[in-house]
Amino acid sequence: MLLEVEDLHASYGAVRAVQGVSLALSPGEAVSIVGANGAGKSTTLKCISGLLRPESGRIRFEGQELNGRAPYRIAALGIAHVPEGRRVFPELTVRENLNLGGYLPRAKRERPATMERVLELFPILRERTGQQAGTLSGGEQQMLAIGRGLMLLPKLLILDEPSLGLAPIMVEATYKGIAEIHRTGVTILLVEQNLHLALEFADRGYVLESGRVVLEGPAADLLEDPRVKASYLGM
Amino acid sequence: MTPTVVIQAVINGLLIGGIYGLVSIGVSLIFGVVKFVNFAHGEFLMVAMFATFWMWQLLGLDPYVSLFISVPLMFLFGACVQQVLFRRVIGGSDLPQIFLTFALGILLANLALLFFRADVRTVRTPYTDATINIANEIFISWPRLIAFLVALALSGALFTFLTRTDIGQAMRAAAQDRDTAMLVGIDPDRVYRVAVGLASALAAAAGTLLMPFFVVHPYVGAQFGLIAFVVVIVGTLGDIRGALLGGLLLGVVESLGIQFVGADSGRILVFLILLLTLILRPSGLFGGRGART
Repeated sequence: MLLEVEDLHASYGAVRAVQGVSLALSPGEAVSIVGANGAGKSTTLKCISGLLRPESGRIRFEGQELNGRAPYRIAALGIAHVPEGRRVFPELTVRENLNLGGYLPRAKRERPATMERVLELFPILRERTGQQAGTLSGGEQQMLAIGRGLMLLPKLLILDEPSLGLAPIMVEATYKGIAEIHRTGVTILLVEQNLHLALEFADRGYVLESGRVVLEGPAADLLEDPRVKASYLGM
Repeated sequence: MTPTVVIQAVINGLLIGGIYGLVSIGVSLIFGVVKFVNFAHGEFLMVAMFATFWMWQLLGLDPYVSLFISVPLMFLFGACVQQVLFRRVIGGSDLPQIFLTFALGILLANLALLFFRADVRTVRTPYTDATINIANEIFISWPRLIAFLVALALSGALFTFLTRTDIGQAMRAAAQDRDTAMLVGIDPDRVYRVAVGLASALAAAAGTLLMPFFVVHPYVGAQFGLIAFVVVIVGTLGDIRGALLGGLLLGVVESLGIQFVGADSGRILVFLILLLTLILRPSGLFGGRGART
């Protein structure tokens, strides 16, 4: 297993967001976590990348315990988390954003080559390299955020709601890029509100409801399962 | 009032304004990156001035030589202060930050008073009174000109550092979005140590450059600290370029005030500018947010 999450519990103050999530990813897989708003999807991701300290449970990456490690140490192991809302550095240029994606020693040497790959993957960014990231459109910012994640040369790429608020044509371009990244052997953990998008892309899926995994299995099966839609609609 | 007097006052103001800018850039850099106001910043400058004085007095080192000692030492001093003291109050509410930095300033001033007494000291160099006569009746003091030029060069160097180096870009990234900066592998504590270290190093450079033509005493820090706080408000807190331009502007304003209002009340104009800024443009002349470059 590349990533193992066991019986994860996490909360924001009094709000219990995740109550016993377990999941596992093999190297090279593309896995989606779907579920309604507030089901605990983003919280689970934040625990994996270290932004949020879990209350209990274990997270292991390549056999190493991640619990309690700072996010920048977790990134150094090869986990790139592209957060919800893209979170590009708005007053840095596109080039500077990408450059910082390869800030860690693990990625620094390959930086020019990786940047070239990112610009081939998302050609729109090439015309914008000198522009402040905050002036990009939502879709361009999403591509930049993914590109910045890729600059880390990650083993695991975590994507939180990459389609959120994007025009359909941008969603298509973004997902084309993600599929291309996956093809090069990067394991992908994807959180999406958009059920079809998520499950059509992934090999396997987990359905979260009120902080718990209620269903899991091959993505194709989940797409057919009426319980998925029901859980998604909160019924 | 002859034009010569006005031109001379503007030149003097610009020259000292470069030093004001250098001190203010430090305050602005810390605020932009680490998000608190270092009320001890003037005292950091005072420490560097005393260090320069004693290196001259005891070792015979020229200030332009001891610059290469005081600047790295103050970088280390700042980084240590950040790690040991400031780190404990960042991210919290404003009051502990204000109390801590203010108390540190008082402590440093009183330590200086304890060890060096309230004497006013200065460094006498062969070039202290050297001037260039650039036009009829208009003179430029050499040490002031050198201080001004080095201040501009250091400001430019900082700007280049923030835009061109990895750690400089990381500093701006952490200032804009701390969580996301950590996700790309940036250790914010390290970035903060460098930011406070650099700000202290700039204060040290300003202090050392002042010594050939200025006096040092335990309370000299308050004088420069006060100006720096006015500058960063006028020039927009967190804005590096604004701090430099604000420093030059207030240097000129102060100099004109001394010339035309009176030597004791020259700063009336400085605080008038502060009041006008707060009334008309509370976010400063360059209004924005974050550690701007």
